[in-house]
Formats: sequence, structure tokens, C-alpha cells
Amino acid sequence: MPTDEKICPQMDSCEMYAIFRNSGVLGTWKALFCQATFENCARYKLVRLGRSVAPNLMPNGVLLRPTRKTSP
Amino acid sequence: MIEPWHWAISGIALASIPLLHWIAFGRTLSVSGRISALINRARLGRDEPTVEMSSDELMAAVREATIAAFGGAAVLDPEVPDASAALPTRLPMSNHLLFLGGIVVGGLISALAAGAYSPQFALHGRTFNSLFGGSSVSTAAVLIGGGMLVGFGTRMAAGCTTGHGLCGVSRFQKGSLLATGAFFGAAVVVSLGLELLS
Ligand code: SF4
Repeated sequence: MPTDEKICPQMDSCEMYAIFRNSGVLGTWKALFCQATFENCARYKLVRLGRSVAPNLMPNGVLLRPTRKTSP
Repeated sequence: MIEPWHWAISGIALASIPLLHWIAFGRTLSVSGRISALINRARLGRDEPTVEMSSDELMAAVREATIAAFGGAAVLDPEVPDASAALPTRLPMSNHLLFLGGIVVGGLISALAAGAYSPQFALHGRTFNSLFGGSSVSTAAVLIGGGMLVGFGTRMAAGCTTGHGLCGVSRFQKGSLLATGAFFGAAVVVSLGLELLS
């Protein structure tokens, strides 16, 4: 675990972090949560409470649902 | 009694481990971090998202949620750099197991090679014996209690002697300087205090 105070200690085991990376949106979330105020991250808070974390939970507390598909 | 290495050689050897770790994995070395990662992953019991979404749907949902939270620029604007390429990827569980197992096996090989392998369940200090009696029960209680306190402190400080002491201090990280000062300072105070009590 990196020791920088600003880096989320869950980064290594966080599934959403890997998804951010692959979907190309990591910069935004990282700047606000993973490498900044990770204490405010909904996922981080649940891990700290010893609770399991839904894989589709975003750091801002939003639960992801499948996006609407356009008709074929 | 084994002759210890010269302090300068020990220092170079110790410094080379985090350096090699950085070169191999692109991240700072932390033993406690690897243990936490391993425990968290085993505890949460998932390696892949289990939500009823395909990987493409999940990526699309993440992008949509990002746009909803921060606007389209967060995804589209090329002026918003995504520094993710420079960041470490998540290490697989096998990597943590191999690393932590390597510490145990490496220590064992080193002790065997030096002819110094003689495991004992005892704390030999005069202070310890006069304070706690030196029985196997009190030894176990002190070792387990001490281990739990070390684990608690390590989680609270978000790092151990490796992450803070070796890697953080060498990079002049404020938090690491403070944490290392605190745990070495506490060790000095406790051992002097016990010495006075005995
Ligand atoms: S998403 Fe939250 S828990 Fe995951 S690495 Fe970022 S701040 Fe930490």
C-alpha cells in the first residue's frame, strides 16, 4: 500500500478502481476520491465498517444500473 | 552467535528491496498493505464484479454515471488528462501470496544457511521474565497481545515499518516521518519504562 496520505488504502483491492481505469474515467474519480478525499468514498466507508461492497457502487454512493439500450 | 553484516551493507540491502519492488511492480513496498489486500479480497470474496451486467454494460454505466456527476467533459475533454497509465494496476492474489510466502521462506533459508535455525517459544529478556514470569502462557499472551496491538496500530497509521519506515521516510513523506517517529519513539519509551519497573 502506498504510504502517501492522499492515496486510498483500498486502491489495491478496489474493484471499481480497476473499472475506472478500463473505462477511461479514472482521472476524474481519482482526483476527487482515490487520490484525494477517499474518506468520503462510499466504497471506502463500507470497507472500513467491515461491510461487503456492492461491485456496482460508485464512490459518490450511486448504484450503477445497466444503461438504456437503443432499439436494434 | 551470528556475526551481523556491516551496517552500511545492511542498509544498502534493505534499500534495494523497495527499489527492486518499485521496478518490478511500479508501486511502493508495503508488507502490511499486501496483507490487508489479501485479507480484504478473501473477506469480500470476489475477484470479478458479480452484478448482472456484462463488462461492456458496466463500462457504459460507469461512463454515464461519470457524465451525470461531472458533465461530459470528464469523459470527452482531451484537456482532462487521465493519468491512469502511470498508476499501478491491481495485483493478483497470487502475487501477494508469493510475496508474503517469500518473506517466510527467505527468512527460513537465510537462517538455515547461517546454521542459526533454532526456533524457541520464549522471550529471553531479563525485564520480561521479572515482569511476566516467563511461563509459556505469559509468553503467548504477550506475543499475541503485542501482535494485535501492532496490527491495530499499523491499520490506524495506514502503514508499517516497511511502508512508512523504509519507503515513506526515504521520500520525506510527512505522515511517514511522523508515524516512524511515533512507533520508534514508543518502542524506546516502553522499553525504558519496563526497565525501570523491573
Ligand atoms: S473508489 Fe473509493 S475505495 Fe476504491 S480506490 Fe477509489 S477511493 Fe478507494
